[in-house]
Amino acid sequence: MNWTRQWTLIKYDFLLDFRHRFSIGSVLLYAVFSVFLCLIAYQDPELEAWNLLYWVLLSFSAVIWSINVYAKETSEHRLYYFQLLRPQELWLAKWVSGTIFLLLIALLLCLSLMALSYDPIIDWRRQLAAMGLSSLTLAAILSFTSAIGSLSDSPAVVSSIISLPLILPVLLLGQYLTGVAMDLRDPAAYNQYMMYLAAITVIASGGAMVLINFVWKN
Amino acid sequence: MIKWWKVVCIILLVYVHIAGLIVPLRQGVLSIDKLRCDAGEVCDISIKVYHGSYTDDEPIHAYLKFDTSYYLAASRVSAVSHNELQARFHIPDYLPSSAEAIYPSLLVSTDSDGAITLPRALSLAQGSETRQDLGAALWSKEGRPTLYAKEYLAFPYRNILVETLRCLYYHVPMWFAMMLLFGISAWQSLMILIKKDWHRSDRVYAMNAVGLVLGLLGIITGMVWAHNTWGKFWSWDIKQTTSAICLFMYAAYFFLYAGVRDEMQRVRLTSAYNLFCFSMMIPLLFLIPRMMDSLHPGNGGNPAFAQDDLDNTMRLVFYPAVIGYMLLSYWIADLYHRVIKLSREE
Repeated sequence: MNWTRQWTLIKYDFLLDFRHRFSIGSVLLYAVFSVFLCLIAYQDPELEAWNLLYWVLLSFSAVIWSINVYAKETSEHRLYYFQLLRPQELWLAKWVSGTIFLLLIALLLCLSLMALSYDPIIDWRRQLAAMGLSSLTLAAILSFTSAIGSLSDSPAVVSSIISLPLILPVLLLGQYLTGVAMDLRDPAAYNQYMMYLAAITVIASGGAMVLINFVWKN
Repeated sequence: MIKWWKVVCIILLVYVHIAGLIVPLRQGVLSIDKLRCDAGEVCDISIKVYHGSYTDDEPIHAYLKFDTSYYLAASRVSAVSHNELQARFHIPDYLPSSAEAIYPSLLVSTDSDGAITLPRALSLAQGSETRQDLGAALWSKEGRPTLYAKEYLAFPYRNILVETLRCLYYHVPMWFAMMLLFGISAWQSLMILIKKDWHRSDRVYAMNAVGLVLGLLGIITGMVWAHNTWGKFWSWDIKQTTSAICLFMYAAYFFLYAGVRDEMQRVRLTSAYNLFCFSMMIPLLFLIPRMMDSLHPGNGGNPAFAQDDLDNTMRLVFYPAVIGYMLLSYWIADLYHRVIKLSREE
């Protein structure tokens, strides 16, 4: 693997994000909107509900983000990609930029929930670790399903329907991890759950790395 | 043309369904109406028995057994009905232990039916003034009774499980068969991607469809079983949750299949997604539930196929059931594959 090339590609992906800042911004706006909407109806959520809101909104924002991952370029541009790049390189660039962007969404959601209701988080170190690792996993899974979806006839529907079941395990573990950070769950199993999440990341990224070769063709 | 394995499949399944449903359960003690008795008092216990055939014609013996060597015989045991006994115990003034309370097992025995037991049936309490030596002498007065377990063809009796034990012959083989089909479909997908055997994609579709139906049946039979043993259809047990997630993943496969119109594109995308699902399913079904707290047998430290759960009589039905269900599911998937192929040719 050519690391300079990979680095250029990652930088290019951020540049592309910046050029399409309205599409990225729309996801951020969607996240804030949905927090606002939920809290209009439910102004003082309990801890359990706070945690639930956070994960539901994060997963939907992430899925909405994933629809547009590969759709930023025109079809001519895409043909150019097919000829120029190895699929793994493209996927890796999307993974890196996606992780950072999802972490941004996660932070934004957390902060806006805190601003509009209250601050339940006791252990920020654990909260940040959980958010970081789950963004990594979500980005690995979603950048793969989005590649599949973008090649189908209705990218939005297909990529959201195939990505939701695949990110369910991440939510299953993630709600526990942030639950620990707000003193809602038993902290004894925290490290073990982090390990499972890391294992899922390894499996998902390994699978995506191999399978993207077969997906990203034309 | 009938292949030999189809005949084997039919024979096995007929055998499994007849034997699995007809062979009776052993006798067992269902419950007793007392939770505790005190030392020195007369303790009348009403005992409910499962599959009992007790009458007053034959002498019935009942014992409270503590710590392998102390037996206390009931002074009088009478049969109220076939399945209900009334036993009277004279609890001695002292117990053979220095603890304030002991938890003896209850044994019921007749000469013709053998002995059955309820472990830790009730608690016997004595005051803080304990005399272990006196208690030991009082309890072992009559010596160790001769007990035996009757040998006959029956499935073991397990507390709480009782008749739901038979679920093992249907629920578990369904999951095994589903794993087989998903495994084959993952293999076919791999072949599609590596060797470009596009024609295998119908087979993948058929395997996944039948596998998903088996998984649904498995989860439904599991829910019915859980309702009778855990108390609820769905208790968010980790095994239930992860298997439901797996079914969602495979359900999404069909939406992906429907969402791509171009044939080549569809074969490639669905195969890649299918392999991805399979690789995610293995840790979800086999790794995570084993490590976490789960009520499901085989997970969270619970026994599954150990001696305690699967005795030799059950093995006689369980192993044929696994093979029979695997063959049947493969057969159905094969037929469905041919149906798809025919409808494509028309």
